[in-house]
Amino acid sequence: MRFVRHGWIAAMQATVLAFGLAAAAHAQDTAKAAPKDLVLKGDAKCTRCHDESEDYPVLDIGKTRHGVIADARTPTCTSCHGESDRHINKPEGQKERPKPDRTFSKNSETPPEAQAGACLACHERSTAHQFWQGSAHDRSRISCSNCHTTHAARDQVLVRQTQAGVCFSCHKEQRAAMLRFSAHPLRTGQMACSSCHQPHGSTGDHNLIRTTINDTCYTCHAEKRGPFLHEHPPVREECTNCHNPHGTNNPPMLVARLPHLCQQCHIAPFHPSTLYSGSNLPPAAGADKMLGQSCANCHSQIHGSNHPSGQRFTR
Amino acid sequence: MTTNHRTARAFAMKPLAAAVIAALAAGSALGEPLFYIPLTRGADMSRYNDNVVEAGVAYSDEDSFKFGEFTGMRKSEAYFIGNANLRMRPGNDGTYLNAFATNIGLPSYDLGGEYGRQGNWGINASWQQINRYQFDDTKFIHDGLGSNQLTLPAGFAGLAGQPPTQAAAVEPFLREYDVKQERGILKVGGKATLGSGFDFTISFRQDDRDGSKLVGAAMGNTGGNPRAVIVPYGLNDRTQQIEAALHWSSKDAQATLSYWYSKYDNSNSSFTWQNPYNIISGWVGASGFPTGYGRIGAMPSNDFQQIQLTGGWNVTPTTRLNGLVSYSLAKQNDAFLPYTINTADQTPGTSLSVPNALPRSSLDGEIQNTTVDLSLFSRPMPKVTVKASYRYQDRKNSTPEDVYAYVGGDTTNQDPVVNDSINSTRIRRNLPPGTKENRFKLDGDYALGRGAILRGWYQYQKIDYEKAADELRTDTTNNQFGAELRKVMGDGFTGAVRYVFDQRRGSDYDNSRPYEASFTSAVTTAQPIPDNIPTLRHYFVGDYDNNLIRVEGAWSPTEQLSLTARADWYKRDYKGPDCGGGNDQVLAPALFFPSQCLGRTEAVGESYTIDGSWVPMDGLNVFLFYTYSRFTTDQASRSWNNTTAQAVSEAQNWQSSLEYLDNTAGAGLRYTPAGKQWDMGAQYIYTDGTGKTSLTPGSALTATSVPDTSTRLDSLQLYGKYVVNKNVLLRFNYAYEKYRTRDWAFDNATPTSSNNVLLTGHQAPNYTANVFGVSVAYTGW
Repeated sequence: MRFVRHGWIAAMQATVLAFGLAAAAHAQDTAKAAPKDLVLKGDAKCTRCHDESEDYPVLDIGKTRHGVIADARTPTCTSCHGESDRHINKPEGQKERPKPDRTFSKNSETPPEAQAGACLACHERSTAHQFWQGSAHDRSRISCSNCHTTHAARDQVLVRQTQAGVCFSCHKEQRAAMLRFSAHPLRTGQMACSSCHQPHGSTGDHNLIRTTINDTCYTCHAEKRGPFLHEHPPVREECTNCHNPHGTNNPPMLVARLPHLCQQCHIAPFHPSTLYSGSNLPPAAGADKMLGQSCANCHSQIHGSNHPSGQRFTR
Repeated sequence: MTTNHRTARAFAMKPLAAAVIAALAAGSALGEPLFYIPLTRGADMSRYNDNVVEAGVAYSDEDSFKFGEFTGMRKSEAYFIGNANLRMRPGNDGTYLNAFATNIGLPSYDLGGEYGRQGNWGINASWQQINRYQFDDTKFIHDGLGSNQLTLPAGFAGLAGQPPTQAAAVEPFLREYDVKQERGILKVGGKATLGSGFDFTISFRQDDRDGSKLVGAAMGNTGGNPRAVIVPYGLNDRTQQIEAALHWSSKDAQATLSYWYSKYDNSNSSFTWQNPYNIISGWVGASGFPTGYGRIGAMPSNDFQQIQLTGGWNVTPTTRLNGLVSYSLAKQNDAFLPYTINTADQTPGTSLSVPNALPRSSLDGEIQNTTVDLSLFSRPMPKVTVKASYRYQDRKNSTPEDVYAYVGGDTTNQDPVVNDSINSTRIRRNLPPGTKENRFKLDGDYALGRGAILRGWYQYQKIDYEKAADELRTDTTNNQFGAELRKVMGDGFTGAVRYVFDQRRGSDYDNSRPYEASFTSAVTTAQPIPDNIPTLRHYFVGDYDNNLIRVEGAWSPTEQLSLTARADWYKRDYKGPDCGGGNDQVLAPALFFPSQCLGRTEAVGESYTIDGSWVPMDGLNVFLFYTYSRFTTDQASRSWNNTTAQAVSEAQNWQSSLEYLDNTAGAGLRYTPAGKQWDMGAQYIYTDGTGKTSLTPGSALTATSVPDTSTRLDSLQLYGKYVVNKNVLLRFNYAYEKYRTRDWAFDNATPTSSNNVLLTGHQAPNYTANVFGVSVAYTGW
């Protein structure tokens, strides 16, 4: 084969070429017998016309979970796209062939809830999708196909390393945040948005995978769960009081710099309320509340302390 | 390649099968950047496609922890490139066997597999190693670095003064030690379809962490006489989680009963270090060098259990009821450490006096959390949707309260007598917080036609604090109103405009309550001004008015061109109406406090993005984006020294404005010329961030300007591939990254630059890295 292409374009063009070569034989086949199913039960209704030469190749579905006919739950083309009789049998006199009953393309005229309904017919049974109806994405009229590529062998949004690129289609501030100095390792693929978020809806705020922000954080940071003898109230309220988990330029993902972030709540006499400025920064010496870890140079146990002498979070 | 059995059979019978197979093979044989950075959709999925095995070598010319922070590519050396995705369906009964390995030549990698029969059962197992290389230029004087017990080396003579005067005593003993954390994550799981609509899933996850983290280790506990040293303490802990769920579903209803257990085990109960500072005024009991030690309590081992029932019911074809009930119990009962390590029985030569025993040997900490969440969602008419939801959350904190007479920073004697009549700020009661939340939301929309939808919602939220007498407020109430006009479907244009107003109010704000609850009455009588000035409002519980506006749109004028834009802006004003009145005056009637509240006064966030993708010609894909973002917080404060004169003096006021600006841009192209055996792509990312600190001192104060912090990243990736034949391809990659940062907290700071603190000498990181990679992939069998 002399052809080599990139992505679906390559697949499409290669197939077009091969289809051309095979056209005569294929035509003879179809003339002799009714079209046969290629991948799914009953798909001949569609695959007699649709194949890998489509802009959106259809046969790759055979490489997905949706293509496993041994699984009794496996749908066929019409399960999602509808019977589409007018599409199959173009009405006489109609210039353009009507679209299938349900389409999922970018400019589809199928309402988002109808698109989602096709998927929910099966997937609403799963725990992960049972909160879809009325979820934030549903209310924003996002349909499943806005994120999922059903026919592709590998769906970008289901691969940890590539998932965020789909989410960033809408969540653009988070894309910029991911590239900041201090961020969770989405950029290098060790985490995905779904490590924390359940995009199909949840009972937690912000579509989080757990019922609270803190419980979500404790999934990986269980050491900060306590309960502690000495609790730091904003920590117990929400981790996001001080951290922006999507990334900031103030390590470790702080929403603002120390010491001034701490001083937004601490105005006790002497050093907590002292105005710290640029004096005595290097090459001068002495600015102990500004250098290094700032307040945490001493108050290092800021997430909570279980030490009987840890009232000030130094122990 | 792998298709299902029936597919393969069908292909075998038709002449087009060979073409399809070849096409799919070609589709899985494409180039991609060496370091994939998920910026946009439409990613090249070739590395993750079925049955690809890739091996090669990459060479980096840069030694930098920051460059290899999470990949592990932090040394100037060669690295093995190894990736594999194997997917097999060895039968026609739905049996599958999948295996993967990603970045197995790098310190951060993962591998795993799954086996099962689709629709019946499955098992899976994986291992992920996530290493974080944090600091490679840090220097320390202690021995035992990375353990939980640090001592000072022979010959070290102690610091006789502030660190800036002690460089000669410190420098001979400084040695570099890399600070890094290694996390290994083991996951094992299984699932089974039980019939009659029942499924069962179970998963186990174990996180093991090793390495070290920096900690500020301080001796002495007041601002006047601390002496600290930044040191690495050893990490060695394990988190185990198990989740089991029984799931039932029918056509119209689903329910899941699940159990989640999480256990955190820290093999270290404490971290100790030998005090490098000679004894200073205020320290007693030989707590200085060489006899004195300091000890910090490690994060305590704890466990958490949650049982949860969720369910959904399609009451009618247009109405769904969802619900959740969960109960969780978090417990922590690690044995307490003594008040101090510097007593004669623990550390020879020291003799701090600790006459009062701990009130208990461990915390017996316990938090019970009950959550009920109900929502009813309906489309009663084709043009109308309505959602009503209610949430109740009771976070009951049963942790016992006691009085602890603490020892300040392992350097002071304990108060000899502990009772409420003792005027000592070192006698404190712990205040375990608990809350009850009730939240109701009504959300509806109406389809105006032509894809336009008008939506509005109202949310009421009330939080009651469990121990009202100990809290700044007894309750808070949020009222939120939102409206949105959205355009969906058709015409190549979608978009939305959203406005949200959110307001928090609550009971009288009283700084004295936690003050009086935690300190002895003798202290609060002697010092009527609380630990914080009464007009301080903590931003996480204080009043605010929040306005948010969002505008977004996506336009696809042609199939080849897609443009999107989004703007987010919000302003949160914390200057609530209760400032300076009510309790502020009642609390300290003899004092005057200004009407302006102190603390965070305002926060503004804004972000604007434009991006687009374009296919100017067959085989050429281009993307481009730019984001500007800005976040600011303003605060008002007062510098005071515990005297009434300064507490009431507006000349002691100061204000700060912290502003963080970011510009992020990205561009990329992918070119796949027709009729050629090669393709190539390029991707460039630029991001810069600036942090500005503006200070406004009162007339009695002075301030020197604070330099800006800055980060700048330039990242270029060039990649391409050459297809040798339908099964073998070569990938070529080049990555260039230049990173420049400036940070006043670290730049030009030596270990002895700071008063009171022995630093690490860490500098804000800069690097310029070139990475070359070549690999061969075998694919598509």
